[in-house]
Amino acid sequence: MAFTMYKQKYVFHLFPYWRRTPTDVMSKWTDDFSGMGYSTAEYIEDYPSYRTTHTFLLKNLQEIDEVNSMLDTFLGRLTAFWFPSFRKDIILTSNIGSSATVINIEEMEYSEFYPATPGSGRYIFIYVNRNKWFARKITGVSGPTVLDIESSLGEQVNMSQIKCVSFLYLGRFDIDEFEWSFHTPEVATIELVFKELPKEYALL
Amino acid sequence: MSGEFTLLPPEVYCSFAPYWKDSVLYSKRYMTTILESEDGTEQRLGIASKPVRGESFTIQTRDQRQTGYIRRRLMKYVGHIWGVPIWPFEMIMSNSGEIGASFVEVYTSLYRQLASGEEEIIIVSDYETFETFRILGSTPTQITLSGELTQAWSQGTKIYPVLRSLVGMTVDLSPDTPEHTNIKMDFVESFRASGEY
Repeated sequence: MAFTMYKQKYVFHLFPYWRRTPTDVMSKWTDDFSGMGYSTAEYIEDYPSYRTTHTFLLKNLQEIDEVNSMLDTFLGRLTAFWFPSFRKDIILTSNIGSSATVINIEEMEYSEFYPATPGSGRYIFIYVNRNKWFARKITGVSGPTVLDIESSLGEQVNMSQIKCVSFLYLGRFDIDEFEWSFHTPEVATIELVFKELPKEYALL
Repeated sequence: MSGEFTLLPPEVYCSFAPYWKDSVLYSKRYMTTILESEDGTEQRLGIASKPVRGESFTIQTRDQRQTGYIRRRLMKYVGHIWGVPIWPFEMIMSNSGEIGASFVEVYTSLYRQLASGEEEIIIVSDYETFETFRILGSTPTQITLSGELTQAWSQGTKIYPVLRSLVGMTVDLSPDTPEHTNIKMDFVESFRASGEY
């Protein structure tokens, strides 16, 4: 389950513990003005920032130690890294060939709703299991149901193997104190809050 | 400006095993600061290079003798440095430890965040019977101690790394019956030290 990098940033690829319901927030940078019964809003940024909370269940001290080491590496909120939504944001309609640089998906009005600039919705995470996952940039659209990706996966990945295809976000933790809840000396849960940093895709 | 500081050792130990039905909480706080502009651009600062750890758990006492044992220590040592076993990082002795030995053997010490130097371990059989040592070194199956064992410990005895800490300002003692009490203990890592610039 070792943590590895994509585009020089670590990927927090652990699959969440779905028994604890996650929460999502999409916020947009706005200024609201109101007076005399009138109000107006100015968008400071065109794109929203994604924030999510997940609980993770770790089943032995080795796994817990690996996550603890990552927390120390990130130093709380300090360091940016990649995190997937772990939702089925994209639904595949065919297997992905080993040399394919496109993926076939169900219609999701992608080109209308996802901006053609760096940021939200431009990176995907294909999760098979905790030892096998793929992070890729979406480089374009070849039709309403075909997304272009920056490079092939290098191996055939069948739909039946894939647990989810999620958007991948660049962000950081949005908490400074991390609390392990040990239910036994070997089994623990931890709740992590992730926050997207839309401004930092440009630094990649 | 430079100087040498030595972290002060614990003056009292909390050797009561936790009530595992209530989870044992082990926390790490990193103390980062974020300066955020109106459009979301951030400048992030790390104040500390290592986290401040904490531990919270519930102790369940069976009789007034046990409750009194803790209550007396709380009265005397509030504001003092406590040594608290990090309960989840339990190690088990794989061989008996003889009087005079300067090491203990364990089945595994991996992933327990053991550090040699000023860090301590505690060998515990019950809340009144324990011994503590600084860790001089460790391998995956052996811990070298700063002193010699003063009593014999049988195979299977439990050993824990110690969190040098301060007890929370409020300790909640909730008696279920006149004798039986749940005590919620919160500890935050202490960096109190002595030394000179």
